[in-house]
Amino acid sequence: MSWHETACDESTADQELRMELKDLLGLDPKMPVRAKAQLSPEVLDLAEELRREATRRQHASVVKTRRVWPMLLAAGLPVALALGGLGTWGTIQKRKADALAAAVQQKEMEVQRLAKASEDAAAQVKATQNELVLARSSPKGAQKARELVLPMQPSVSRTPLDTQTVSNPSR
Amino acid sequence: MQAPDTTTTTPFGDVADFHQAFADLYPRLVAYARRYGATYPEDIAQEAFVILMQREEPVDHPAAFLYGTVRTLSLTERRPMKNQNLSLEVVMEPGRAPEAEDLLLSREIRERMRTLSPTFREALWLFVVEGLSIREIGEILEIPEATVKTRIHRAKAQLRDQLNTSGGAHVMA
Repeated sequence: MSWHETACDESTADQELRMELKDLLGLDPKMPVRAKAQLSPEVLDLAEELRREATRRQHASVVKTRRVWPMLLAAGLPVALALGGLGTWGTIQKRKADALAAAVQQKEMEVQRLAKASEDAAAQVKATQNELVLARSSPKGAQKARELVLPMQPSVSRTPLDTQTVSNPSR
Repeated sequence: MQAPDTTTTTPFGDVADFHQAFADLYPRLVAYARRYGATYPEDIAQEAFVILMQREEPVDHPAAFLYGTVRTLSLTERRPMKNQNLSLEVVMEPGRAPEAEDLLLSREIRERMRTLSPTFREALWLFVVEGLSIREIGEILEIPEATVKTRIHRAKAQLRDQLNTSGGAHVMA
């Protein structure tokens, strides 16, 4: 469809409105607005020149686009490699850090266990010391403390086999 | 000059259609750019044609696209002069760019157009003088079709008021 025929798309109301406005403005309503102009050689030359310029720009745009992609790839490859290397290094570092964190945690648990055992031992020592202090503070206990107490089996002390009881004449 | 390739398709149809459309639209687009106060209206009109032709996506209304591109380029050209907010209505001061209107309208009609509210003048111009459809004007001005219609109807009302105050006399051009 030629551009002259655009008015065919218009509704009758719009066409009538245009006629009315033309009348109000004092224009001839019958006068076609889009009259065909004469095609002079100068106009044809200019039209062709512009058409060639448009085609040239289209080609230039396509060529530019084609050139841009390899350049972008070439520029992006080192960046991608660097990012990949950095990512790998980062992953390795993360694994190392995780392993170290686990070892540290295990050691902390060991230290805590040892600390608890040490506390228990210290408490036991302190309790024993307290008992000793109490025993020393009482006189009976103090005397008892100076004697050597040997634990004996009751059976051994009650049934001497190789001894004989004698009386002491000096007493 | 090289022989034109007649098999090529253009936004206007074949090459012959393009030549005819160019011959019809080019002077109008130059005048339209001049109305916006463009310093180089011919360059702007030619650039609009090149932009249209180099587009890969098809354009529904090539004429509207050209007018819209000329409008944008004209306003952009004025931007360094800090006048980017100027619209057609502001630029169309008496004596500013009279040659553009002289090509199409008589003095009396120009005077009538000038008395209209600047907001409605452009829509009226594109609708009546340039012969563009409501949809095309909407595309050019980047406003809804309903707004275009409203502007045109208000312009009509203003024209009617004008005629009533001047005794209803108007001369057919």
